[in-house]
Amino acid sequence: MKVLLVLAHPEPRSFNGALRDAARETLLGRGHEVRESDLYAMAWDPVLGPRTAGTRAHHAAVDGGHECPPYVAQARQRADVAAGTQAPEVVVEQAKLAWADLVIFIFPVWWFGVPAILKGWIDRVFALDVAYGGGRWFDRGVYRGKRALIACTTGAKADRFSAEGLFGPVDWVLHPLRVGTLNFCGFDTLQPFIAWAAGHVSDAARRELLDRWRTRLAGIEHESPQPFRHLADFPSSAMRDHA
Amino acid sequence: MKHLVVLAHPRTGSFTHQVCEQWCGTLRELGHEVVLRDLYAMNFNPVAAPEEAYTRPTAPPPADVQVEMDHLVAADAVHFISPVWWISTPAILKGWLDRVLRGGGFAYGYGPNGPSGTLRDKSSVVFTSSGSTVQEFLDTRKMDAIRVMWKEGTVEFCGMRLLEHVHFGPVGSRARPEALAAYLQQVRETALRHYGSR
Repeated sequence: MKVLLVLAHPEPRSFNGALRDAARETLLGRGHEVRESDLYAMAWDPVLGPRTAGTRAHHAAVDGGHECPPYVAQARQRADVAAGTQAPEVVVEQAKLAWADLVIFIFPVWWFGVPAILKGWIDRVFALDVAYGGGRWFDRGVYRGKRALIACTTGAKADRFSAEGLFGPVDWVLHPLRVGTLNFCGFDTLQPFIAWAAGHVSDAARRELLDRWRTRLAGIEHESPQPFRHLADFPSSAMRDHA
Repeated sequence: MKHLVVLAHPRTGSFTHQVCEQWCGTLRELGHEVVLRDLYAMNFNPVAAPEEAYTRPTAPPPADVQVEMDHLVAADAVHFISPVWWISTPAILKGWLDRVLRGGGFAYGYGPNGPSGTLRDKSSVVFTSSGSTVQEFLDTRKMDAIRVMWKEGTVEFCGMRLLEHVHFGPVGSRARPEALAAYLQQVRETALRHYGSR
């Protein structure tokens, strides 16, 4: 299997970094191919729009040298894809997605979501007319046949993220990435790997988590995906909207 | 009252900017003081550095974060205006939350009963918009996810009161001009309703 590891943590020696290292080692050991996007190591620019260094140069060319031209995110993406003028670093990441059979996202949960650097990887890489568009979404999605796995750490323990807990079900925290992004673009998702309160538990507990992670990855190709939303189940809006 | 408004949209003149102008304009008309943080115009850096990790809450904040923290402390109300991108905020705003809403007792702290917000006595209104229809957001439960992220996940987590989350959709090419005008009127009425009497 071809596996892309996407890591979003500022500190390589963090537990998130350890999850990435364990994934790389286990997957390579099982004969899989592995590529990586370590967003902090790459100094990824997460800002979609004219601020982005890579896009600003060709915006200036396209828009006649204006420093900050009028900008409509999706219209700009569509024009850039059609003209082949996407930022080079975005094209590289899109090629990794096209290559991968399985994409593993490794990140800490910050403010009920992904860190900004990963949010901006999604904003820029999952571009209109590349990752979706023209009626290609959910079961007609671009990345149908590919799988994605969310591996995250939380600050709080599991009971906080239960239905009765202070924060409510963790499903809501992962919904934007799992359903709103990955399923939206056609990815099947595997059961997320959540390392609860990874920063607050003992070293022994962390080692046990890493062992569980390695064991799981050793058989990852045999797992069944989570339930997937089909457009036909939402006739009131979905079919009409983006078709 | 002092209001801090955090805006995230790359294009001046966009619907999001119009919402912001209406919101700030109405508040000023009502006699309030408004500080606007236009994150794209400021070229705000949304990427939290290693030394900003929540595991090191005693490390001093970087200078650009300190500026935002000072604005936050001085404000009686904090408002967020942004489009919905991938059922979340644009990265530039996500990074403002990541970096400015620091732990260690600034925006929240940990007590014997777990985390508790420390930005008490501040109120908040959140404006979001999307090109999708509201029906599609409801069908796929994206609306719930957005509300949870803003309400429980951010505003209330810090101890602030979320007076209202106002979502507009569809905006952009699928919206009729009269719908957009009605949305802007709704922004004005929201300001009058919550901050009309000082």
